[in-house]
Amino acid sequence: MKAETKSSYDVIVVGGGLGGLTAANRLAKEGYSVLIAEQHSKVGGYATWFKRGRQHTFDVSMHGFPSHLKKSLEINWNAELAGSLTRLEKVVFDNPQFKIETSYDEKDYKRILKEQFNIPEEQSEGFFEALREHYAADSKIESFKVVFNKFFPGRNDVLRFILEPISYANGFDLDDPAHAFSLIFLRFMQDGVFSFKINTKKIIGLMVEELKKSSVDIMTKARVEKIVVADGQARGVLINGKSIAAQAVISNADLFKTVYDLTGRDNFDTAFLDQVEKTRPSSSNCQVYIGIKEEVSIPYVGDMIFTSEKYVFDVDELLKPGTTSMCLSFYYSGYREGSSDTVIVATINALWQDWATLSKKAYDEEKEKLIRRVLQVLKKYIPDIESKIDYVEAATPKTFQRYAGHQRGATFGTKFEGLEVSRLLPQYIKGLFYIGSVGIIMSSWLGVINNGSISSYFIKKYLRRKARLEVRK
Amino acid sequence: MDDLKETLRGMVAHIIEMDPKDIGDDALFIKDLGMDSMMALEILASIEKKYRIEIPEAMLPKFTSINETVKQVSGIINQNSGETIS
Repeated sequence: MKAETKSSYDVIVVGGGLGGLTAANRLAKEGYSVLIAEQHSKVGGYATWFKRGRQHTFDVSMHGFPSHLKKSLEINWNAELAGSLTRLEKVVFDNPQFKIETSYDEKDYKRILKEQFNIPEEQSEGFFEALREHYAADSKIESFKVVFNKFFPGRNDVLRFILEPISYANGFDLDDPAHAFSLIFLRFMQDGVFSFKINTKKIIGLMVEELKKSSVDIMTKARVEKIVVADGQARGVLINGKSIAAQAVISNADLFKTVYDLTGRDNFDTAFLDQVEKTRPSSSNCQVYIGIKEEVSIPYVGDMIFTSEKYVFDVDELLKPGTTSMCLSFYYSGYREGSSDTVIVATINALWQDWATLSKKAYDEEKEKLIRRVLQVLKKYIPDIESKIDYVEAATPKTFQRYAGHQRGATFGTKFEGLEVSRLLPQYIKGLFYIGSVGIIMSSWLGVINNGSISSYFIKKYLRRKARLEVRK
Repeated sequence: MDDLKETLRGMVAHIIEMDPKDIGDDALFIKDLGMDSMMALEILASIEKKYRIEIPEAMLPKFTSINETVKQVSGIINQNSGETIS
């Protein structure tokens, strides 16, 4: 996939995550010449996969998405990608407080709140209405906790029912803005949860095909050393010692790396650097990948299970080493077009510091324990699971850090305040844009694809304005 | 401006997959129609292209409904044609 690169482009995208790929595609379709420089051997960022054993292909960050993703893929990519989404039938909650099966949409949620949690209709209606207010007004910064407590004070079980999936979806916690919560939760509530009939490898393959049609150059194993800045303007990048010029540079890398290493602190004032310093990276994850033997099958137990053995729901507990709280994603045989592979991916929230400080020996032991814990949990749903598997492996925040290069292995970029920082960047350096994940609102593929799309609109405006000014000169 | 209004209604209907006649003039794009910011921006970009205008970034938050958008966009179109005459 290593392209012959030119010496100059209209736009260079640093990092081929979904946001970067989307912006590249949109800008190229408008006629701009675009280069994507990706440090890894394949593009996609966290939208990635790996192949193990005889037949297993594991998707790393694909779980469930809101139906809006379909429209987003249609607009930014193509009908084939949009058409490969399919609704998941059953989301399951299983914990000491309740066991619930749901189609994960507003109607079903209101029904369950009434029937199982004895919440009067007008109360849940009021809660949804309050979320809609927050969805529309991003200036109204009220935390999720404040809004929740207005409607369901003291109801830890309701909190679990509403917040648990979102905590896994983007590392959300109670103090994060209600606006951010509404953005993701209400989109799911509109039509339920969707996933792809094709695997990540095929999805990224289709995107690369589309990029090639748009004449985008893609360089892999291309480590960008510097974003070249002169007279307060981004001029290009330095890759493997070679400098390539550009009218605009888009960073789809880690926010801190973009500011500190790629651009350099001397290009910013202390007020901005303080703001970057105060930006919190989001939490990280562990994952356990389980492959099922070719000749055996597993019963249908749901598409996603949010499971926990904790009696009380606590967002911080989800992050603790040794937690039994996890999200299980099941990919049954035949679920993917043309594939009989059955795999299960367990996702556990985690903190970088809990893993990064371990010795090699302790790290390996913890990974083993994690695998055993996940298998133990899985036994509740598939009692003979251990005799059915032929592959199992775990990833930790360190694994994610190694592959994606994000600080502290953050799998959801930064917390909400990162958005403001990323918006300020082009004010300091003309022609430098940031489309990394600003976790909370930009998490999930929908968020990053939309961020790429939105950014391409502003980059296009910038390039037009720049061209007009140059003509006048 | 009826043409602009109906063009806009068509764009909104297409993006949210609704019948144009079910989209009220004052329905709020995000709150009532469930649009996201990407969709809203997509509509604005189509308007810019079709009417060959440039919408200043500071005005973006004002595009909240069909009526509001028509008001803002016709303002820009009139201003532009004024410039051409002078």
